[in-house]
Amino acid sequence: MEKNNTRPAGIGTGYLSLMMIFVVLCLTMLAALSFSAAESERKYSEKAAEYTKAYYEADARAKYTLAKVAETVDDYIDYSDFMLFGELDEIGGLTYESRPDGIDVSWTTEINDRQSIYSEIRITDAGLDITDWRTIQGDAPEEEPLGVWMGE
Amino acid sequence: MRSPTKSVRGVGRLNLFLLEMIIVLLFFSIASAVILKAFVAADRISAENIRLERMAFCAQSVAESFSVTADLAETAEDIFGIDPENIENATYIEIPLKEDCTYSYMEDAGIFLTMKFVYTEYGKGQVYTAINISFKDDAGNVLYEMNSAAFKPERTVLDYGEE
Repeated sequence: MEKNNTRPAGIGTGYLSLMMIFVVLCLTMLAALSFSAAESERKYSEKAAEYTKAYYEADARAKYTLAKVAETVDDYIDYSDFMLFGELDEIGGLTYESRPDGIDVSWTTEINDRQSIYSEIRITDAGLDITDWRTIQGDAPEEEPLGVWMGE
Repeated sequence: MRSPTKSVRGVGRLNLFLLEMIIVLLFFSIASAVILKAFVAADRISAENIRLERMAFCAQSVAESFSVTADLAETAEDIFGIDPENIENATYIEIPLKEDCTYSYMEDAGIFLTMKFVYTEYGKGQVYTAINISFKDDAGNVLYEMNSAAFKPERTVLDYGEE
């Protein structure tokens, strides 16, 4: 009979500490997870922002080359003139192919160490036509296109 | 009749419980202050990330629009809906923006977008224009910055505001 009266009525000593330790551990884990998630998100955002910056700076350089090429070719009527080729060589980094009615010029502009912008234009008597302007891996366009379904 | 021994034992247990509770609360308040700091830091970093992403997207939109128009006033109209007649200088524009990078009509601007011509070269019937796009905070600190350019085979008349 005496035994029943010795049992504690409420929460015993120590339970509160255990509960607190559990809650603090849970909160610490959540805080650490949210902090590491925010940090990794920050790295990703910074990389994306840096890439955008690098891309548009490369794009600006590619457009500058385009302006130089257009200005150079504008002086010539004969697109197979060796003087024209000499002037295009002076610009540097260009690949060109003379055609009876015009000239095709292409070049790459580095975005970063892995990607470049590939630009290709065709200049004829009718004017300037940008035939290709895209991001490529490395500094040379793929010869073989990827086997992607084109909807045909 | 209640035993006096039992009563003393109960009071002792209660004191111990209260003492534990005080220690637990003290420790919990210290721990939660540290944890709260980590949560606040994570929230601040997350808000900065969102702002950086929005600025990068906004700068990208400006660059794309400028590459087509080659005109700052037209770009401002295209992206932010600003009436070109309200733009006095066509070579330098500062636009107050809200945190979400939309045009701020009121004085609640948190970011200022600056678009300015940095280089222009005229060729034969063509113009190449490079611009600088930068985002600054209230204190004038640069948050994000990039350069872009436009090439127009047909020469565009640009108003520099000077003869």
